[in-house]
Amino acid sequence: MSAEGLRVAVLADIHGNLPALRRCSATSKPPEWTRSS
Amino acid sequence: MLRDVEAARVDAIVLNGDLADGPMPAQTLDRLEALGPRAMWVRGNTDRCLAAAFDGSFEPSGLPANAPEAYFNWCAARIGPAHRDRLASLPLSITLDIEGLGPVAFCHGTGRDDNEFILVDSPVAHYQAAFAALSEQTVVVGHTHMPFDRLADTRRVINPGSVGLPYGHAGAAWALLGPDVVLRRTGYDTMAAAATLLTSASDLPGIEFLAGNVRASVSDAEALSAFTESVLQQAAEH
Repeated sequence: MSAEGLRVAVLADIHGNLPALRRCSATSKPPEWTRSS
Repeated sequence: MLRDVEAARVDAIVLNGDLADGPMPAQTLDRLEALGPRAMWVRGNTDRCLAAAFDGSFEPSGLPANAPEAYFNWCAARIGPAHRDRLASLPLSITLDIEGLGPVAFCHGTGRDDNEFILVDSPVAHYQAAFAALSEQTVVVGHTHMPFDRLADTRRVINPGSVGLPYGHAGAAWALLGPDVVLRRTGYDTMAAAATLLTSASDLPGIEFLAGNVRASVSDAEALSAFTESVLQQAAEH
């Protein structure tokens, strides 16, 4: 934990889709990401 | 996705609601419990509905965007008392001090209602009313399954999108906070995942839609249109 605060991941609306939560952990490639601002 | 989360070296993982209902409810809850104390749980409307269905006290919302009772009864029949107790104990919102952002509130719907729909194109007045009870200048929501990051009368409102049922894009959406806000998307084998969901929950009401959305997501324009009907109904109620 940083002295200035936390770094957190936010996961929402999983809706019982365990493969989405877990299966992609099989990939070792960096995730696609978009920066919003 | 969880490997991506681990690689991001976060201090905590916020589970911002609507976690377990769907094709694999017990298995999903067990996996989330395995995250341990780093996981910070927030109540979504479907978490509340699933606990109520387990108790035999489910009451339909009357909103067209919400799933029917038969869906929750199917899910409730596949969880145990410990799962129910976890879901029934979740808070409406939590606040964490985030690096670079300060105090950030996390709630599933809005600050006043875990089932309130607020959209990227909702009027500023809607945002003002929905978050009036919160003092935090940054709020993270969920519920509508579409990522966004916008200002509304000086308050920053972020939606990380949906891990399991995204609209407008493929893959699993989530967000990283501190010191910046980064909306992230993790790809996975959606065809294989859809097959697994169909096998696991062939008689779940709505499974064809759920699995189909994993294979090819509903567009955000279509989802916005569908949600707007519920937004208008809620506006009359609030």
